[in-house]
Amino acid sequence: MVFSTPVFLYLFLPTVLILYYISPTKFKNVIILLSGLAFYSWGEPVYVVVMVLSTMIDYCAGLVMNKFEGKKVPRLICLIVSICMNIGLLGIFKYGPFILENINAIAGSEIFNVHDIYLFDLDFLPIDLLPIGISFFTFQSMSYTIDLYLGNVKVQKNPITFAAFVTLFPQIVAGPIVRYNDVAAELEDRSITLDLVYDGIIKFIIGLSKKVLIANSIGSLWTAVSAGDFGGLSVLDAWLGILAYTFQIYFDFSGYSDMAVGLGEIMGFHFPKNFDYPYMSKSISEFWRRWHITLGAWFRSYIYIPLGGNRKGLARTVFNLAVVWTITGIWHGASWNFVLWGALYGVLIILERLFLGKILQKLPAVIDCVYTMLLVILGWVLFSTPDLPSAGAYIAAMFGGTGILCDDAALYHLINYAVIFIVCIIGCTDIPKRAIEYLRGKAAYIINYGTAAAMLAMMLLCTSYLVDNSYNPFLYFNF
Amino acid sequence: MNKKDAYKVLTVGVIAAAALIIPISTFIKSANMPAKPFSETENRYLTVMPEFNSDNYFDKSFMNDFESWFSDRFILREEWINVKNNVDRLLGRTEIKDIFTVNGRMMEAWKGYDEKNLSANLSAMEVFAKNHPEQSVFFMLAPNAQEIYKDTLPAFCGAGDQKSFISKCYQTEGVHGIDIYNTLYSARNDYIYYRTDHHWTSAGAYAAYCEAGESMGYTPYGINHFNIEHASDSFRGTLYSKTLDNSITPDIIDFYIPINGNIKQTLTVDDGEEVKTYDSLYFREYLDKKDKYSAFLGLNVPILEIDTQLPEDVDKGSLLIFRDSYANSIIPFLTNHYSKITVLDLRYINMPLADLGVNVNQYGSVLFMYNVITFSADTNVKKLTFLDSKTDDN
Repeated sequence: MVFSTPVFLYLFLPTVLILYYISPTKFKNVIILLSGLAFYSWGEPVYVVVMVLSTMIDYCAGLVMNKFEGKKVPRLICLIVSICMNIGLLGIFKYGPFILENINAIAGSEIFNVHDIYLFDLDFLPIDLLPIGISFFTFQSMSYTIDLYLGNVKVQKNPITFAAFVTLFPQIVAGPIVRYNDVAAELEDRSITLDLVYDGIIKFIIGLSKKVLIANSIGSLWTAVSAGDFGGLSVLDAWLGILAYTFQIYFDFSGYSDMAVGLGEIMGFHFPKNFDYPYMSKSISEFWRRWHITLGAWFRSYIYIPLGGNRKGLARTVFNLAVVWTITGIWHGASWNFVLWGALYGVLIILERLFLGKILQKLPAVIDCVYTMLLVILGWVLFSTPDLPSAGAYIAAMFGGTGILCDDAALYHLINYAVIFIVCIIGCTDIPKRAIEYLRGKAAYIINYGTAAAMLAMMLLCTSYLVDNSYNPFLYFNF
Repeated sequence: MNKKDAYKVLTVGVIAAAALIIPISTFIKSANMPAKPFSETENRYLTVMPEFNSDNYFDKSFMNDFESWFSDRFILREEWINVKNNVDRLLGRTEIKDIFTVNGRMMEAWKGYDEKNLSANLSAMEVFAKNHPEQSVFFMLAPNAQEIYKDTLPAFCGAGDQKSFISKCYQTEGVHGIDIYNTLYSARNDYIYYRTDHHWTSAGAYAAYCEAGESMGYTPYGINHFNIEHASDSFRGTLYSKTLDNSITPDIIDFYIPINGNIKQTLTVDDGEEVKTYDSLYFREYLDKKDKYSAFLGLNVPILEIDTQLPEDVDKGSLLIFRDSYANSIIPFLTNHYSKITVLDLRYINMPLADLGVNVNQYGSVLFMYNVITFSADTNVKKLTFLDSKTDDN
């Protein structure tokens, strides 16, 4: 199930929250577990088994690890089992076909019949290969065993509490990647306060509006531009198209995270922030400190730092960064586009660390922002096109490769989407937030009650867009 | 509770109330609906509550149907959609669901056609004409409102050029194209297209009927020959069903009834299952429904036959029409000149014409009557290649 559907908003969520609020504290985690399983199996009726399996193995690994307290080898074995199992699930479901196809390509022959191995979609189970959110829940679940091994968290002996952590529906399908450590205390004991619920509702409705009102509106432009043959795109249309995607992915993804964080607060949890105005960054390194923050933090804690981080000399730092960024790329999807996309960021971040960062500091902030956004936008071409040749063709069109500077389609798109583009540009900066804070200082009363009215209006407006149900994509099937 | 927090209580309370009132009222509304409800405004059956079983659970069709069920029955569904479309308009979107709304009129966007499909259709018509040299084969291709009122469409909207499409189609060998473009264009200030529907009005069809007389060899009757009956003034058509835009004035449906009204006419309808006979071309029961255009010749069926008793000096004999729904408005005019008209809808015909009892060679003339949007996307005319056998025995 996804958040931006009438069934979730007006059936699932009210029902679950009523049950959650009225049940006594010790049953609240049971409600989380059951609602999470219902939520996940609504979208993945078959693969819910995969999630349950992953949860059970990590739970048991934790128990066994705890039994061998102080003994390094058995604990390491438990950790390896847990990691292999999670990576194995990713390997089978997410990367299997990609790996086999590439082995075939390298060998130059059909060693593996990918279709026979993978498209076993039996007549009674016509299912997609990739379980929704597999990259999120495996990473979340792994954070427990790794942190337990490192001694950062205590063992969780209650299977319901641990299962509630993995199946906590707000963050199950599209992040943020909540680490066990982040919520360990709140899983045992949390208080639901008016302040928290109020903040949660506001974050949820803002997130919903970002997704439904902004991302879906601008996204239809990208859909229109990318539907055609890239060989016939004019320069203007190609730029408008990828700009539209740039805004769509930000408002969609950060909107989804806002909704998750908001739902968490409504249920008494504090989830980590996932986005912090990434399009205002002045360097690529800064961009990645502001974009999908929980993913970067995960890789930093569990890969970069264990590899030695930047403490083992420059050469080793460069190597570590290269490893982390290649993995970051492929985490987003099993194709060469994502590998290249990650590698591009790896190279840029290494360059910034070596010398580019110092140059950027001396340049005016505007130039830094343009530099960053230009590269981020080019990155989104790789991210949003299906394969490398089409990414190449698209970038060629952006730089005049088709020989058409501007055409009717581009002008039409420009006129039709001008207003929403302006909304997007303002909306991805912190200007609205600062404006509201400033006004709150002047007239708190009006802002406070105005917020109530605005929230209701936004919620109803989102409802009208969802009831019409024309264009409402879920972008993270690759993840 | 702290008084300072009153606004927080209010916010939480208002949102929670909305989140409860909406689903509860939706269920009350749903409980009071018939088992298989039909949406008149959207012109479709609403989704029925799926019955849960392991098959539809595992293939997710249960979830998909349930989601459609819920949003189809959503409280104030049409009002929500209206709000959305109005906001889209405020945001500067001129095109909503492929429909342009300008000057109080909705028009479907026509973005061109598939070259290969078109040439398959045209060559099927060419072969058809070649196989029936005794018959005059006419082709009437009506431009759509968005072509006639193209200058009112938003700039750069990429509306295709129907005029050149029509002339391209009229180059088909052996087929006589009837050019009604200029006639319609010069009547553009008259009420020749519906505002809320993709069809032309009876006035538009009348203009085309007058123009076609010269080519087809009949003398069209002047406007005084008809009593114009305003059959309905509350028609909201197919374009309205998509946008639900209530700001557009509903349409008027006119019937042009010949003044020498007593001619005996029978309409035989074969819907593929049974054959029924009527004594009028107009199905007035549809005037009380949403789909008022069906008042012209009824619902789409594979075969219609209209027999009219005409004075011998007027009668041009028999006419076979391959058509889309634009033809429904012009056929009543043509019945003033052809005592026997057979109307075939190729969308619903999948067996040889001979097996349907239609012998093309028995007809004096054949007319292909389509509008540009339908014809450019049509995938059925090309079926003629195998539906129409070449053998002209009989």
